[in-house]
Amino acid sequence: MERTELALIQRAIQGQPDAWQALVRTHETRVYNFGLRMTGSVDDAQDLLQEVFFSAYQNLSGFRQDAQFSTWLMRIAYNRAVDQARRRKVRDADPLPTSTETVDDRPGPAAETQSQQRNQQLQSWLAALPLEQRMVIELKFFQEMTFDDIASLESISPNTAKTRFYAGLARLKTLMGDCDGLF
Amino acid sequence: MACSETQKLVAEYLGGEMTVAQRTACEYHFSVCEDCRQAVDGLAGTAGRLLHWEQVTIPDWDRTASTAEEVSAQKTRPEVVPLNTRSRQIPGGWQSWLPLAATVALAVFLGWNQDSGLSEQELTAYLDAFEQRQQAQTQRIMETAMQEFGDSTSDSMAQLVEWIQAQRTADMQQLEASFQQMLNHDYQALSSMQQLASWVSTQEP
Ligand SMILES: [Zn+2]
Repeated sequence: MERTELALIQRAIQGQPDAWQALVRTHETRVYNFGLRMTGSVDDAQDLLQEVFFSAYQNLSGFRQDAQFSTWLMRIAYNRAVDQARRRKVRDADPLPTSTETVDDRPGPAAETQSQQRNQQLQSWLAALPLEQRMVIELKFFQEMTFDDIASLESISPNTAKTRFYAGLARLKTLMGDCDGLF
Repeated sequence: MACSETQKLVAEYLGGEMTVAQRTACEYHFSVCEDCRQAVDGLAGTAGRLLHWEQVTIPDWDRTASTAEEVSAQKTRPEVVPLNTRSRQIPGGWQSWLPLAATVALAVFLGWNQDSGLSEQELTAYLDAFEQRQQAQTQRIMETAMQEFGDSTSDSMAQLVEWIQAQRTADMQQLEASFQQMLNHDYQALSSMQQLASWVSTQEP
């Protein structure tokens, strides 16, 4: 880990708000994008973002300084995302949204860019996967973790991680079908 | 699927963790195995599409909220509020809230971290049962107290009731604070009943 980041963490533990905010700024985009893909919703991604950094701040003194801060933070993000999905399941007794309407409910600009459309399409596909498959796809492709690390994070075997990854891709392939010129 | 290796090989291949030698061996297998070739051809395109994700910048948000304990706890974890409301209704305490807190912590830990875990309804039922036990216990203690202080004036009786109420309130506040902290805690790291109990007991409300 960079010395500057370690220094920031130490200063944040001492209660210096500037240091904490600098840490948040460094990692917020990654966590937010993780949330968008995992929840399929801007509101839930923003809630998750708040929860992750809240939890991180609460547990900052327990951060082992020989570890990677980003890895440690993603562990919290993983836990919070699983937790949020379970709470939502209890709340709604309903699976994740599968229609594109619920994916981004912000009033968007008149002309959405092609990349926004692509992101929304990807979000809706990912939202249609079971959580366990979506999580492995996320951790593998977007967080670039190894199967061994995924297995350790999720307390599953590496083979289970591979099976979920394969099943997730196969499901996505069906969902994508013959999609138009967006991709 | 006829080839028993397809899932594993294709996952490892598309997962990008193979050495050059492994990739070569794998590609050779794909060239002779129809099942694997079809699978990898189809899924490579799927994987490729995922890479079209473009990083989204966050709309402006309150970066200081994560450091403001109370507000943030309520704002970011709305679903835990009913649990706290429940704990507020638990009468008495009599120093016994600690094992309860640890038990519920464990229930939450197990329930929310396993697919076939405890539902919110079950947790509520558990807390209801606990509440009834506590009420019975409080009643017994009151009856004992009545017998013991039977000859005393109504003033000392009032003092006793006051003392019990104060105990209750203090325990309740402590229990609530512990619950909140526990729920905010990254509780997947806590792996045993003992750890939970000691964790809960060391948390300052
Ligand atoms: Zn094969």
